[in-house]
Amino acid sequence: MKTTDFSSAPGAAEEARIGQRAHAALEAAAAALPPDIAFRLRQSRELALTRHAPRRSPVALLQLAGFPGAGTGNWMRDIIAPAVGILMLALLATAASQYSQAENHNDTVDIDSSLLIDDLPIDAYLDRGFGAWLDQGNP
Amino acid sequence: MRAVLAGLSIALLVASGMAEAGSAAAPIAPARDWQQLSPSQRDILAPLGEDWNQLDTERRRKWIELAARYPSMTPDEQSRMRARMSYWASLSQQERIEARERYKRLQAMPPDQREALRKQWEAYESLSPEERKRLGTSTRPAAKAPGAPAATPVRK
Repeated sequence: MKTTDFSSAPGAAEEARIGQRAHAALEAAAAALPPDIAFRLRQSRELALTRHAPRRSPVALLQLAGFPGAGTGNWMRDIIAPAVGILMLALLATAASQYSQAENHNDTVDIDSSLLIDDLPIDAYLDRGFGAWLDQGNP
Repeated sequence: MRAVLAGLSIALLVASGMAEAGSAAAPIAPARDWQQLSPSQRDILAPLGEDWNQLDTERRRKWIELAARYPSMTPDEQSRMRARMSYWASLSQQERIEARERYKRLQAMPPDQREALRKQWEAYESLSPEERKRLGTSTRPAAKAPGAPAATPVRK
């Protein structure tokens, strides 16, 4: 068990002795507490600690939001640089999306153009039975 | 600061490059109303004239781009395209998607098999209705796109 040394202060020897006796008495009493009371004491202690937990500051919130340098006093590094990074990613994502849409559009026009002039009638591509028939290796 | 500006510039260049690359191959046509089309476009797209203004923007753009390819087609291809336009436009979106998928699958066949498809289609059409139904012809979706023109009856 950890004890505290009070002997360095003047007149502290008496206080230390009283303290040690009180400590020993409390320890003995605590060990003899019924389990339900010990449980409630532990709950109360945890509740008190929770209520005294430090609240997150705006700086901590910025750091959580992805601005690791927030709060260091350098706004260029704290806010602007990450924001520009996010903006660049957004621009690239938008451009990639537009590129993909244009590609799909062009592909669809190519296929439609081919279908409309193909040797086979459109029904051949609508008919599931024809596909199944080909898959069976006929004729 | 310089690094940030350089990064932003690179991102802008890449983004604009991708956007241009997407539209450079075939610029997406504006989706005009029927009366705003040129006389030659109206002539080519005449089979769709009655229903043109009910088509959505994306479909109008596709048809305008298809019309732009029309002059470069052979007379046979032009004839086929005009004969099939209103039927193709009458299909539901799901039917068009399925037809495109089957077309891509059949295109992936070896060239010799691909050339034989026309005869195989004719042979398939000569099967009895019961046989074709058994093979799955009756599973073709029947839903039509809202506002679509009357279609040629689907072969079953």
